[in-house]
Amino acid sequence: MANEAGKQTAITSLTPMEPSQTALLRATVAARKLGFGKQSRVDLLALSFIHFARWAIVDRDAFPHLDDEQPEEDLEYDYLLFCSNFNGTWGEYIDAFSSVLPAGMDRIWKWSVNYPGAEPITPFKEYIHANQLDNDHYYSAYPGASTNDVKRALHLQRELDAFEASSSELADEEFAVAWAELLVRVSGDLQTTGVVDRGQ
Amino acid sequence: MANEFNNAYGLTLLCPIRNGPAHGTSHANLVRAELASWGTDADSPLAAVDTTHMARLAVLDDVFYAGHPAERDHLRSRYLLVSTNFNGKLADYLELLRTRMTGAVEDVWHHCVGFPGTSDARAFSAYFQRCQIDIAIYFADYPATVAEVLDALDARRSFVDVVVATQGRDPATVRAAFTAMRNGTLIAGAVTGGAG
Repeated sequence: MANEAGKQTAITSLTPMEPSQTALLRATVAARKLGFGKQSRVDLLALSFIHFARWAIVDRDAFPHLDDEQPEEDLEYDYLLFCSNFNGTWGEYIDAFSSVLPAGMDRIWKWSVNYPGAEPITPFKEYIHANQLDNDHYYSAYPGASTNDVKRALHLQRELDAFEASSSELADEEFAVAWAELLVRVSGDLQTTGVVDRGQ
Repeated sequence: MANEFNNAYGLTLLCPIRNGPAHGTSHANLVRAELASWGTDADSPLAAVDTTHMARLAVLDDVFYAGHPAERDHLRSRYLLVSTNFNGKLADYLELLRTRMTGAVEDVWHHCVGFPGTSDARAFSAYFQRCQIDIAIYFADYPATVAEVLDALDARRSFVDVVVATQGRDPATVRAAFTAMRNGTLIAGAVTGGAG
């Protein structure tokens, strides 16, 4: 089981959907004028601890079949695959989804068989746990960094680029003033969250 | 289909694993054993595919029973699920997998149905594209590439070192330390000079 890499945790779940419900989910996702996909992404941005997340629909006749050696699948249901990369514990993550984004989660998962809704929290956690798959290998290029670490570091980098360009011709006294102002501007970018990253 | 978002590409694969016995166990168990032998973090074979932000591999033995009154579904094959987030084009990424992870890919994927090996680039790419599942909703929190993220994290560490080391120092010393940091020539503990 390999569901963690440094500060990051991976959840993988697979939930069944009646084919008639799958069609409704596809139609909802495709209805861009309703902003379904966009709203879901806006919701995820608000949580600010998810690096990457995806939902994919696997039709019951769309499991890859590559040669005659492999038996054809004969399934009743389509499947909704969910993969997320986030910071924090599993419990904190599901709690956040339930408390902050219940409508967003229901929009996506209400088409899955026996989905209990994102509220109350206990049946929601039980549902996710019952449909969760452990990973056999999990990799991160920057395991020591949370999403906020990454975004703060990127913001700091932009500030340093700008400071380097604007300070090169300053006299020492002016440089000192600009440096102090820079430190005030970027003080929030120097914080880290969670376990202190070491060596990466 | 939404495999791309915010400068990232989400590749999702379901690779059927061969049924039947292999070396006294199953191909799926041998895949698991191979994955368990991979190093972690910088020692993972995926570290060589350096456009990869995060990736997971999991053996899917069967689908889950949703409970009464749902029907019981069962898969007739096991699948190797791969979910990876990277920057750049799919074709280039698959070529990196083929050329930079050759041994690890061979050791895992030779247990998979129809895997053509790593010697033929076109066949390799075609195989993985046949195993690809398109994403319905994809989210990536930041548009930076892996290299940009790593550079920014390094810069933050170095900047904190400079700020701490130059507290109370004269502007010339601070400027010199900052310049050395930006040039990559800053030596830890080497901030000197000035009236302090």
